[in-house]
Amino acid sequence: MMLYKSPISLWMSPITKLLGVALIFVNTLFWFMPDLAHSVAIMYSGIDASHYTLTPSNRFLGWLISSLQVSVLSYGFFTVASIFQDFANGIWFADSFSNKIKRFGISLLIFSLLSPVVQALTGLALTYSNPVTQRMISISFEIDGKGMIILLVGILLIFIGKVIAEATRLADENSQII
Amino acid sequence: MADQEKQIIVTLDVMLAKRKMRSKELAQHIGISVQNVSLLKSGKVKGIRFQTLTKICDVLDCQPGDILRFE
Repeated sequence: MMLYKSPISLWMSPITKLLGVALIFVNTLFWFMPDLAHSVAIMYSGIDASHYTLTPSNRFLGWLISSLQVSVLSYGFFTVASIFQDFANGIWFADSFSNKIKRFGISLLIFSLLSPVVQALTGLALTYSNPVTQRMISISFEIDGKGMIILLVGILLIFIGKVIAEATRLADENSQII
Repeated sequence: MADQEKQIIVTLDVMLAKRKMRSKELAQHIGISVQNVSLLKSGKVKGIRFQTLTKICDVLDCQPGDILRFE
C-alpha cells in the first residue's frame, strides 16, 4: 500500500547501511591493530590478556570468529536499511515488510544466542598456541542488561512481524472493499 | 458443488444505463473515484460498504437488488 513518502527514511536507509559496514570494518580494525587487539580480545573471550600472547594467526582466528557474530548484526542492519528505503518510497504495507521485520528480529536473536559460542571459540583460538595444560575455554551464559534487551527485542520483532503480516492482509482486503 | 459456483453479480452498469448516467457522474455524487466505480461495475471487488450502497441507491433511486444479483 502506497502512503506518504518519508523524507527521514531517505536519510536513514544509507545511514543504517553505513552502520552495517562500519560494524564489520571496526571489528576488523580492532583485531588487526596491535594496540587495540588486546581490548577486543578480552571483550570477546572474557579471558585476561595475561593468559595468552596475541599472534597474527590467533588474531586472525579471533577476527574470523567474531566476524561471524558481527556479520549477523550487519545483515540485520541491511534489512533495516531496506525497510527505511521502502518507507522513503512510500511503501508502508508491502508483503515484504513483515518478512523484513521478522528477519531483523531473527538476526538480533541469533546475535544474542551466538554470544556464548563466540566467547568460547575466541577463548580457544587465543589460547590454542599455549602449552596443552594452559589452553583455556571460557563459557558464560550470563546475560547483561544490553544482551537481555537485544534478546527480548529480537523475539518481540519476530512476533511484531507476524502481526504486521496479518495487518497487511487486512489492509489489502480492506482496499478491495468499496 | 453447484452452490460453490453461485456468486453475486453486480449489475450497476445496467442501472446506470437505465438512468442514463455516466460512471464519472455517479462517482462524483457518491464521493468515490471513477476507478473504484469501474471496479465495482466489473465486480472485481471483495465487497461493498453499506455506506456506498446507500449512496448509490439514493443517487440512482433504486433498491440494492436492482444493482446486485445472486445467481
